[in-house]
Amino acid sequence: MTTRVALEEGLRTLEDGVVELASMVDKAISRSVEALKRLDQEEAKRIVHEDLLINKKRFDIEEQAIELIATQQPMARDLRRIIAILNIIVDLERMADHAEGIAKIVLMHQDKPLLKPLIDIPRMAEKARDMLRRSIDAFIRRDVEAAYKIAAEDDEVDALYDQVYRELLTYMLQDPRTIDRATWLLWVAHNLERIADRVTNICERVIYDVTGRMEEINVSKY
Amino acid sequence: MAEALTFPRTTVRPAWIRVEGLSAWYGRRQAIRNVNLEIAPGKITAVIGPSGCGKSTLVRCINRLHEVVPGARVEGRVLLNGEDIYGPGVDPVLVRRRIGMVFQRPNPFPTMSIFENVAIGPRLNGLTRGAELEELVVRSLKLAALWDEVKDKLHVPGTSLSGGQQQRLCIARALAVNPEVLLLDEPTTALDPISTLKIEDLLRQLKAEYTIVIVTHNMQQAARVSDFTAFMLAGEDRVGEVVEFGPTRQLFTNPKDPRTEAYITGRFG
Repeated sequence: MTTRVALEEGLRTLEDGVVELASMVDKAISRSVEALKRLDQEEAKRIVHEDLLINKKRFDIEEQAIELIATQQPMARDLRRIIAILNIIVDLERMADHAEGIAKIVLMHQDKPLLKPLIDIPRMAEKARDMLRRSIDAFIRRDVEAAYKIAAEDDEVDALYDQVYRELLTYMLQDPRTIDRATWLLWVAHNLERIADRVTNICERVIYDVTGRMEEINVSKY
Repeated sequence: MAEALTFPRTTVRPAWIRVEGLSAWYGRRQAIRNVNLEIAPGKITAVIGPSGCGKSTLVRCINRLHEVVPGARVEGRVLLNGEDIYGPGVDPVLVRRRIGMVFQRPNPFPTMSIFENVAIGPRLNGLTRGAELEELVVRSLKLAALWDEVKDKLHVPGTSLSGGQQQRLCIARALAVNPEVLLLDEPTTALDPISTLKIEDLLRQLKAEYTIVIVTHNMQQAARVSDFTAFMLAGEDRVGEVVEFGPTRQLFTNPKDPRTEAYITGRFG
């Protein structure tokens, strides 16, 4: 068996990059929800600013991937791996934008208190982050079965989103003066719901990487 | 005979070829075993595989060139538009006229001019009339994308051209006898990258009218130029077989056989 050292090394570097980017995104999601709990304006500003680093990381990986294609002419599974990575980093970067969106909602609150204590929103965040971490793990291990399972769990996030929506609607109906803050929290929940949707995109890429099949799995109800 | 001389040829649609259970031997040594292939009309089919896998033998069987080697033998059928080229009473010379071949090294006839190199085939087939012959030569040189480069020097020796031009001259020579199928056995191996890309462009233009089979050990070339790809491999007994055959885009993005995967990703040896 001949090996292709340059290609193998390039692929490993790309994989490391994906893991690192995913970890940055995971942290951004976690920090944005923590900042929301405390309405920490300074932390929210930092999160918005640090999104630039995530964007830069994504472009770095993209450039390395293009270079690897141009110089090593990957085929078959190697080519699919790189194409999967190119897609995954876009989803990761967009997830970070959703986290940034949550941080901006913290900033919108200025000196207003939270409408209500957060219960389901942190649960949504935990679930989405758990799905994110496992989807990256499934990608690294080329685990198609896990990919299907994780994607199916998007329904749980959707269900929590439903719950948040109904609860916030009650607030708004009872007292129209809460509409502003209720809408903000709804946006937060929506951002988290989108993050989980993007995890299912990653799962689709895991399936493509391993099998070459492009299929849409678990279409979200939102 | 007359049909092969008509230009443009009477069969408007490119020919299809079906290779059925084809095996070939050099003396007692078997070179390929039980090859089955559908070669689509008006498409480019690439045959790839490591050295010694029998890919050249395969194409040489498709125009009955294999049997020219002393002791060489073929079993199986090769159907050209449904007609077995190995059938009884079939003239191999006529087969080779309908299924032309271009080789690895450009091989224009050294003593002949550019014009004569292209005209020789039709002349041997009995076409000697000036105007008609000239028209045929011009048309062939245009088809081979060489006309613009040689129109002012048709009477200089063919060997005075560059390697890439010589290979296009050989393609013009093959086209001049109005074949339905063009076989190319590693036609760009001896050429520089730009001449190689020119030949590939030319093949893409020609495939509307000709069915093309190209043998190449350059996988990237197969990926660039072909619609279908056959991957051949010789097993431990050194007899070549087709391991996988399918649309080029599928074979290069998601091959079914692990041996194809190993070869095209370069993890092979």
